[in-house]
Formats: sequence, C-alpha cells, structure tokens
Amino acid sequence: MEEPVTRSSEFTKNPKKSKWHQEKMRRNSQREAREKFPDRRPIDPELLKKYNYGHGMSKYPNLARDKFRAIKIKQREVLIQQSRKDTARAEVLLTEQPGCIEVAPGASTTEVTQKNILQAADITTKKKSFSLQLDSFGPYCFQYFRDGRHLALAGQLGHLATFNWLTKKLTMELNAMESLHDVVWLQDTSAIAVAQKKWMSIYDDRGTELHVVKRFYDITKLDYLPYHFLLTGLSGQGNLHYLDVSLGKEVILIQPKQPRAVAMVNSPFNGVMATAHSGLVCMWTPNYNEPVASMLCHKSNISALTYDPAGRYLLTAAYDRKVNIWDARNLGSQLQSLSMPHSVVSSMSVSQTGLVALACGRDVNIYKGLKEGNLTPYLHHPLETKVHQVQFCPYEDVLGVTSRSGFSSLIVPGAGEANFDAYEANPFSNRTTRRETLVKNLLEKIPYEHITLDPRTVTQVDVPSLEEKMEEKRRLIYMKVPKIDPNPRYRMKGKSGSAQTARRKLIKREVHKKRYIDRLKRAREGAGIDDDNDDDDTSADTSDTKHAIKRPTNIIDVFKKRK
Amino acid sequence: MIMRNYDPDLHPFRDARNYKLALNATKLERVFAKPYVGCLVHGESISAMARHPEMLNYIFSGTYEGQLTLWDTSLEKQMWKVQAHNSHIWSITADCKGETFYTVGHDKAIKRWSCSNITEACDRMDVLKGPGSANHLSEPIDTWLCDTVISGLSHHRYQNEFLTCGERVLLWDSEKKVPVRSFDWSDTGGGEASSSAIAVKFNMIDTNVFASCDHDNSLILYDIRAKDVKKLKMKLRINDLSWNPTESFILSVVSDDYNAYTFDVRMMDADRRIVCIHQGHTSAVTCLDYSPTGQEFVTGSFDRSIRIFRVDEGRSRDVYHGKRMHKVTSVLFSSDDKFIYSGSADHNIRIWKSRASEKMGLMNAREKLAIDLSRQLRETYKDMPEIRRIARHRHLPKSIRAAAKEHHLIRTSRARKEENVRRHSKPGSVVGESRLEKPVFGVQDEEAVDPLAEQAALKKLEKFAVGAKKRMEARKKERTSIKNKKMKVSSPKGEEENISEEKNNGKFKKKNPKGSFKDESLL
Repeated sequence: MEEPVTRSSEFTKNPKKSKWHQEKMRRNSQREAREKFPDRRPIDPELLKKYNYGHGMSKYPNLARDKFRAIKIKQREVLIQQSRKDTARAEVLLTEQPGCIEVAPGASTTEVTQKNILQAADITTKKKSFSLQLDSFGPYCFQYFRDGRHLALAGQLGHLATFNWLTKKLTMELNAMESLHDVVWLQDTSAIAVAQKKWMSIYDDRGTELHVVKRFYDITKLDYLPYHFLLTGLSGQGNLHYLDVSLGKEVILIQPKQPRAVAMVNSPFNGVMATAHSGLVCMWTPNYNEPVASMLCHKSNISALTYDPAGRYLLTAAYDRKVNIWDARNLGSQLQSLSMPHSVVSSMSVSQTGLVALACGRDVNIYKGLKEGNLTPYLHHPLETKVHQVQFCPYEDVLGVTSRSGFSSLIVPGAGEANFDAYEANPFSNRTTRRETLVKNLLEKIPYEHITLDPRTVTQVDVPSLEEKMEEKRRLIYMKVPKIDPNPRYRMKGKSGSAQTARRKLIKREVHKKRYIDRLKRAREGAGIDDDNDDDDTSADTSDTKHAIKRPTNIIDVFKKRK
Repeated sequence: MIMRNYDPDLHPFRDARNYKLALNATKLERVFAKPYVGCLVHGESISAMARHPEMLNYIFSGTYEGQLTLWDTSLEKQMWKVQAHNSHIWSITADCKGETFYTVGHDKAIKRWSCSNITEACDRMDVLKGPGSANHLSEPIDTWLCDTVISGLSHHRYQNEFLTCGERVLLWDSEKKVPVRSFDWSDTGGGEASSSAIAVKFNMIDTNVFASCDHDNSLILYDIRAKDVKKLKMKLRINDLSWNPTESFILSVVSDDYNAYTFDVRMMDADRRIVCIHQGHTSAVTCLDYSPTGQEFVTGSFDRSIRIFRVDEGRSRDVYHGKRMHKVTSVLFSSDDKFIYSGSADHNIRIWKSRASEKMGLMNAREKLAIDLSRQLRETYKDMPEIRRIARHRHLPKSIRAAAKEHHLIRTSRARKEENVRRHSKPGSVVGESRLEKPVFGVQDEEAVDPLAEQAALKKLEKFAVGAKKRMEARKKERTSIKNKKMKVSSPKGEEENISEEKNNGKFKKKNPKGSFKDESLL
C-alpha cells in the first residue's frame, strides 16, 4: 500500500517566514554567490563574428510548419549559439602566436632586409632561409604542399624535384626531357601532377610516372581541389579540364566562348574556378558549360589572379599596372585598388594571415593590411633577375620565390597561421596518419555537384525569392489548359465503338478543361489576381468566421464532463 | 596530443563535408542494422509474455497449451517450467511488490505464483532436476476459480488489487476469495450481454483509471472511483491496448483494421481524440507493448512482422521480420528499452534489438564519441532526400510488400471515389469525415453511480438513447442539406475494414451498428 509521497509538506515547513521573506533571502544569497564567483569572462564580439555559422531560422520566422517545430528549431539554435560561444572561448587554448617585426619609432619595416631579419632570428628560423642555385633548367614553377613541409619544383626545361624543404631531404628528382609548365600536389605527398609539353603526367614519390592523362592536352596551369579530389587544368587553347583523381575520370571539359583564358585559380572557399580572359574574370563550376558568374575587373589584360587562403578576397593584377582586390563572396564589389609605379605584377600570393606578396619585375613587394582594408608596404626584397613565381608557405613565415637564377626561401615574419589543425593539415604526420587521413578524406569526398557559388547551399532552406514569386504570379495569368490524350477503358458489349469512344474522349477532355480552369481560378484568387468581382471574396470571408471551429480546451482530469 | 584550431577558415566546405559524413553515417547505420539477437525455443505457440518484476534478463511466457515458462534471455535458457493451466494462458502479470505473479487461463482459473521463490531457486541453479520437474515450486500459492472465462489481467501499481476481464470486468483483492467489485458496463450500457472484454489495463500513473476493449468493437475507460465511465465505439475490433508509462493520458490500441491508434483520453469527446493513426501493418494487429521510456511502442501482427512506432508518428520507425517467423501473438519490450521480445505461432520467442544498428557491449570513449557524432549528423541532415530515402528503406517480404501495394491502391481509389462523389453532388451536401474520425463510430458517456445496481440498466439505456438522439440532432443541424442527398452518397467507410470485407465477399456490405450506436451518416 505505497502511495507516492507528496511534497506538499515541504512547502509548509516553516510557517513563520513569509513568501516574500524567502524570496528576499534567495536573492541575497544569489547576489553573494555572484560576487564571490563572478561569471565567465565576456567574449570578444569580433571573435564571435569569426565563428558565425549563418543566420539560422531567425531570418524566416514563419517557415516552421507548426508551433512544435518552431520551438524545436529554437531549442536547437540555442545549442548552436552555445557551441559558437564555447568554440570562441576555446581560442585560449591555442598555444602559438604569429610573428611580427618591430622597428624603432619613425623607421619603416620596408627598410628591413632579409639580412637584418636573419641576424635577429633564432636558429630554427635561420634554417628556413635558403636559396637553391638552379639556373640551367629554369625558370621554375613550384608549389608548397598544404601542410607546409614539402615542396615541388618543376623547371621549364624538364627538371622535376620534390623534397622536404625543412630537412632538405630529397624525395624524388628526375628529368622529364620535355618542357614542364606547371606542377601541383595531389591528395598527399605521394603524388604530383605535372603539366608537360603535350600531356599531363602524374608521378609518385619515387619518380615513377604513374599516369599520362592524354585528355589533358597542352596544359599551362594546374590546380587541385583537395576536398573534391578534383584536378583542374587550363589548356593553351583556353579549355578548362576537370579530372576526378579518385576515380580517374574526366568530369567535364569546358570550352569557353570567352577570349582565351590566361590564368586559372580555384577558390578555397567554394571550389569555384576563376579564370581570367583578357580583363574579364569568369567563375566556373563543373556542372555548367557556361560561367556561373563573370565580372569585368580590368580594362586591360589580366596578368595574375589569386585568392587568399580563406577564399574571401580575389586579387587581380593587370597590364595597366594595377592590382584590384575584390570581395569574392559579394561579386562585383571592389574593395581596394593598388597602382604599381614601375612594372606589371606577374605573380601574386596571399598568406594565411593576409600578407600580400607581389612579384613586380625584379622585386618582391610584400604588403600587409588586406583584412583591415588598406594595403601598406611591409617588406621589400630585390632580386637580380626577373621574378617568375611567388608563393607563401602555409603555417610558416616563409615566402618562396623563383627567378631565372633559382629558388629562394625568404623569411616574412607573421605570414603563416601559427596554430595548425591536425585534422586538416598535419606537419608532423607520420606514415600511419597519412594513410588514415587519405581514407578519411576519401570517405568525406564532396561530390562535384555540390560546387556552387554559395557553399552553404546544402544546408539552406529553399525559399522562393520575390522575383520567383512574381514570375509564378505572372505565369498564372497566361496559363493555358494543357492538352491531354485520354485513353478510355475498353468496354464490352459493343460499347467501345469509334463513336462511343470519341464521345467519351470528348467528355474527358471537357472535364479536364473544366477542372483545370477551376483550379486556376482558385490559384489566381489565392495569389490575389482578381479577374472576377470582389463581392465573392468578402462573402467567403464572413462565412469562414461564422463556421470557425471552436477547439475544446484541455482538461487534465481524465473523465471530467464538459459543460 | 592532437593540435586543434577551430578557425572556420581552416575548415572549408563545412556543410558539404558534414552532409557527406551524414550520408555515410546513414549508409553505415543501415549496413549495421542487424536486429535479430536470438531465439528462445518453446515447444508450443506463445500466447502471453510478461517481464519479470525484478530481473532484467528474465521473462515469463505462457503458451496455448497452458505451459508457463521462465526464461533467462541473456543465456537464452529455460529456467523454470510448469503446466500452469489446462487450456491456454491468456495473460501473465506481476504484482505491485514483485513478490508474486498471476496467470489467467482459458480454464477459468486465476493462479498466483511465488515469484521470489522461483527466482531464488533459479539463481541457485537448483530448480530441482531441471525445468519441468515436479516440486514445491510447481504449485501455485493461490487459485481463484471463476464461472466464466477470463481473458485479461492487470495489476494495480501500488495496491494489492488486480483486474480481470471476460464477460465481466472484475476487481479482485489478493486477500479475498471473491471479487471486490464488478464493472458491468457491457451488460447495461451497450445492451449487448454477449460482448466480453478482450483485454484490460491499469493506468500506471493515474492508478485509479483503467481501460478495456471488448468484442463489441468498443474501447471502455473506467475509473475505480466509479464516477465517470466512457465508452468509445470503433468500427473494427481492438485486440490489445497499452497505456503510455510516462504520460498518463496517452493510450495506444491495436485494431483488426491493420492500424494502431493513439488516443488522448482527455479529449475522448472531441474530434481530436485520436492523436495519431499508426499505419504500416498489412494484417490484423494483435498485440502491443510500450517501451519503458514512453517514446515508442512495438506492435505484432498477423502479417508475420513486428513494427516499432514512435508515439507521435504515423509511420513505423522500423519493421522486423524473420524468414520463419509466423503470426505474432505477443510482443514485449525489455525493462531497459534495449530489447524486444516477440512470441509467435511458430513456437519461438525471438529476441530483437530495439534499435537495429545499436552496438551492444562495452565501448571505449572514442567509439562512443564517434557514434554520438554520427547520430547527430544523421539527425541534422535527415530531411535531405537522399539520406531520407536510405534511412527509410527496408527490405520486406514479398507478401507484405504486395499487400501494402494493394492497400495503397485501394486507399487511393477510395479517395478518388469520394472526391468524385463530392464533385458530382450539390456543393456542401457531402461532408467528408476527417481521417482521424473515420475509425470511430461514436462515444458513449455514462455515470455509473452504483456499478452493482443492475436495475438501473434500463434507465441508462434510455438515457443513452436520448443522448445519442441529441447528438444526432445537433449534427443534423450542421448538415442541413444532408436529408436531400441519396443514401449511397454519404456512406463513409473505414479504410481497412473494407479491405478485408471486400476480399471475403467480393462486395462491400454495410455493417449495421449494434445497439443504440447509430451514426446518422450511415442512415
């Protein structure tokens, strides 16, 4: 005979203290606790902005199907906001800080030379500065691998080498015996793709030529999308190639109608390929033959084109000796423009922290303040011969430069991201982790169909725009009854003669027409297009209110009779 | 240590990658969906099952031959066996303290067994010379003999009282030899003496309330305080019912019309009394049992499958079937919500996992995290078409697939016909019944002041008739034009009811509502 214990006795434990008194006590104790243990530190709003996962459902408050779902969505968004705050707070745990140069007041950092930097730098940094005397096969094009440890060099006259530039340990070296135009790392350090004189070849880390891809003919530029396993190439004729490296299949070959493209680069933000056709920049995805976007960036021919590593900014340099900086997410909005006094920019690179390196003739100019919105000169490094290519090394304060005379690695303090994420690019990876990472990457390979201008498309709700709504309305006005071909059922006893059948067909057509017109009429009324008099609408409204269903209110007691 | 930097710039394509991971997780979930765990081989067809009140791994089962067995499901072993009744065992239930349990059989006997003694003996593993051998445990503690067959049994949660149902619904005290009270609704209100109850269940939270279903297609709600009773008439028979163990006002029933229904008993008068119609079975549903969490329940059907439904979803979360599994006669959730037991006519009790792809056994922290992540991802992206398709896909036996296809055809053609009827009659003259209203004929509301007063029967009948008339008039007022229309135009049909009848007779015959349950739409 156990009855559940009721808690009513607890509330009347102390009859002397009034409710008001109790409440006061409670508040006092709370205040004391707050003073004793202050709340967590407020989060920097700038930091919160960094961890923004989109606007959520607040933009579409009426999209939830019913109240329950609206509440559920709200609860979920509270969790998301919480995780956003927690992630922002977790920045405290980052161990490293980016480097910088400090000069005497009044002095400028542009006067600081590589020699000065090396004098001040520690021994591990000094090791990162080196130059290779490669004057017989050059000029070289090169690429750092995504973890910032490996370097691939391809000389125009056939010299190909990959090595760990920190330990200076050579992985592979060969002479391709034909001209090389570009080199690019594939998914991991075990394979590189090289654009050769005729075709593109893929080499492994022992120098074995694994594949010759003859569909990639006369390629001048190569690029790789690591999350999609897509190798993209720009041919001398201006064709754009997409190759799925995991399957070895060509995805699409685009032959643009625009003037021949001279530069090509993939956006790290949304995977869209940007090509430069004279002064025009076109954006391509492997899903269409036409550019998904295009904008006129310069009035003269473009010489170089690059994105920053986050894909926020698009930098274009042209023969009018100008460098324009565009907001890559909001196309067509120019953020800054820079005029080069002496020479045309032949190559550009943006570091993870937002330093911009420009190759102008024999000089390498490094600017800072890309994210702040005003580029100011940061460093300057003159070379003896014309600069061929510049590229910042990821996660290192290093800028790689090639010229006629060879390759040199310059120290640029504050260029690299100080804290790496081991799940994305791990400089300390060993064989096992590399192998496992490859498998994981393959499992989360994004289908190329998902490449769009907005990479968040997959999580977005398809809400019709005003334009689409208007179009829908316009369509309603001019809608015609679609023709149908009725096929009446065969009937016995001579009922399926031609006359009977024809009659039945006619009836069906008429019925179809009538229903369609009725439906259309209703749709027009719903859309607010009135082709009839308005009297009907008002009468319908009043009748609706009259017959509104009264919902019974909930009563907890199970069998209570309603009165 | 793994270095992490959660800067979004270092993690591009976050949404697309997560989508791909969710897709993979969904696929893997289906790959690992192997719900079948094991089988308890019985000699006879299973008619009833019950959880052991204290031991997580013990269940009782009763058969059509009257055999009562205690199983250890973790060892898949028979622990104790006795010929409890001469005919089949209708129901087994444990008492409120977990010391004894009751069985009722077709031989009109209620037997009470000592649960603790048997369990103790099983623990010592000396159930003298193995199961089935005669000993002090093979005799019941108490036996009650009744004059009529008893088909259902339910014990009060806190008191030593239990209910039985048959021709009458009786309340017993375990200390007394005769029933304490009789609830004779079926004799008086409905005017049908022959309709005996099939099942009866006590509410576990609102312990004064209980419900029963009878052969007269009605669902009856009682209150021990005997103030108000409610009777709901369905179009087809209810085979089993179960109260939600966490929400006292939610009652789920399974019906002969292939569906399960979840009722909100607070709104039995209103149109919204049915919260959800759970569809999916392709034959009569015979049994159900709620998960201890109250979030979902399992149903067993004559279509040789069991389905797991969420309380608020019409479509089943999962369906289990076996190659040799026959008609399912009883189902049971384990007390920890991890397993489902299904007893079928093929003399077996099958053990299933309640979540088909769940990993059993110990897991290390990383594995748990990974599983958690994959669940979150699946949840986030569950509405993407590709993912939804994969998650919903089930392989089904040909028979079920064909039947489901046929039922779909019947439903659509019926809907089309209704639409045509409405289109060709005067606007407003044909009022369609809502989907949630179709399976119900009507509700009868009665005050049983003194349940033992048999004399009041006639009065009640009159009262009810007046009530029904009033309701009829009220509804007629709403549909003023209903008189003008032809008879066949307005006949609403229970969906699944007609399927079986059409199959049997070739033609659909209208079923006459019994007693005073006249629905004017069936004039």
